Amino acid sequence: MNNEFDPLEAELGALRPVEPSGELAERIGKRLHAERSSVPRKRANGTRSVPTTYYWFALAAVAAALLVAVAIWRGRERTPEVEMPLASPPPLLAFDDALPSVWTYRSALASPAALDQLLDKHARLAPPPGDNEQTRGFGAVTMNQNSHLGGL
Amino acid sequence: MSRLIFAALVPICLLLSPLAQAQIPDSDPHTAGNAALQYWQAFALMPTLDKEQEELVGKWTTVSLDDPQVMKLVENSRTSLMFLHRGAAMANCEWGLKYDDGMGMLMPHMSRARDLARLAALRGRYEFERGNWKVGRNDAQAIVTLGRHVGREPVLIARLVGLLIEDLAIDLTAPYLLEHKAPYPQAMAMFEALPPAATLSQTILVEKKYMCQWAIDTLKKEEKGKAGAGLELWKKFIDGAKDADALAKMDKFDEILKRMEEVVPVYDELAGIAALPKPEFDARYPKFREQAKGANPVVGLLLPAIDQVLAKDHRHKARFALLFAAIAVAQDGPAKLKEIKDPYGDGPFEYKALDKGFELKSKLLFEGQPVTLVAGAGKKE
Repeated sequence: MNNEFDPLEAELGALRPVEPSGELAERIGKRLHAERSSVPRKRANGTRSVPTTYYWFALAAVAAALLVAVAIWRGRERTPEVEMPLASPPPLLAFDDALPSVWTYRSALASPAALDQLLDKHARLAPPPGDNEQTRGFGAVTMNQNSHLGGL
Repeated sequence: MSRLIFAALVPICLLLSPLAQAQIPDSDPHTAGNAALQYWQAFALMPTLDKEQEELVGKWTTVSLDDPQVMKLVENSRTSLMFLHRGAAMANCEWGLKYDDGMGMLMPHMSRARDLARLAALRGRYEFERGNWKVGRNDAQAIVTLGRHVGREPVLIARLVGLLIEDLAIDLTAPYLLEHKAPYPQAMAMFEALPPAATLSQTILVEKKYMCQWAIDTLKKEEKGKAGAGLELWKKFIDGAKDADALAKMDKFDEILKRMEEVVPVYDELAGIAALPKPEFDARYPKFREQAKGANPVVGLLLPAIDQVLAKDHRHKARFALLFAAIAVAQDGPAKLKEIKDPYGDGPFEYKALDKGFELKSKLLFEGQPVTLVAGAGKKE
């Protein structure tokens, strides 16, 4: 910090703002007038009219919505045509008598006892319905959790 | 600016609103859905049976209903049976079978459907014994409908399991006919309103398209993928077959394929014969089968034993006819039989009074014995 009187400071202190020219004032006036005319005028009831540009935006939004609708509709129409890569069972699976395949059941066509035995076998091979051990997600629902139902 | 956002959102919301509404489930009990989805919920909620309980369910016609194990089983089946009834209230049933899998097509619902029907029969008997006729009758009706829904798939084994399930309803209802006196017209109307099962001719044509043709295509595909693999697969087909020795002599892949392709038109002929009235079928089928097998050993391997399926079909029809006749007798007495014709004879069913209830006999023979029905022997005093 310098406490001595600086000549530059004295020079700057002597400077005074110059009055704006008449030409500048006229240009500013014209510009202000032009901007005011672009601002929406108040209607008789006090509301402002919406500029035309906004209507174009709204129209574009409607057009976009229609495009979305057409896309959804066409997408639905086309769904059955899409061939998903489905896995087919290997042919040998048909001969696995642990599985309830058409081939396995053919052997039981002749005898009701054989059919009953096969149905018993496949019923036993099915996972037990009560076995709800869960390895992912939020775990199995227990009676305690059920008791909270309706608590809200 | 808020007007702009509003103007843009309104059409989008209007367009999306039907999609949002489609996600809200209908709270009304609808009957237009897929019954199979209800049945699968019933299967999932069936009680897990240990060996002893399995035996109890298997012997549902004779087990003591005072046995605490049986009572527990009936109690534990209630939720599952609720879904059985929901499914039975629906006309449509799509099991979602993948016919393109041919003989490898899996039908895991069949064993479950049979077990569910047995549980329903046990509960039905339990209710009949307590005089809850309406609950018991509803169980019987749900069992028959489940049987029809299983048998609607045009696959021979599905048809047989369907018949087996429907037979449970006959076994459940017949012993209690004298007590609950189901009105004959109402019972007939219920039967006639049941969803139709696939016809035998339909199942034969499905066998041709999806089973025989699948076997041919699969053998070709295997052989194309690796030389000799088709022949290896063929050995799987003939493993355990009746004419395995004769079939094993065919060891050239091209010959096997040619023989298999020759079987395809035989299915059409078989479908025609299966549609004939019983006397004509009985007269024509043995000769047809003998000739077809004599000309081509692969016929015996691929063509299903239609005569055995048809015999079970006729027995089932006769049993239902006997049941309705028994309902009429329980309501109006044996004299009513004069108005009801045995579909497998020239006159009415034979009637025999028993110490408890009565027996009706059809002229139809199954495995050498006349098909009979004992009615009114059930309720304990």
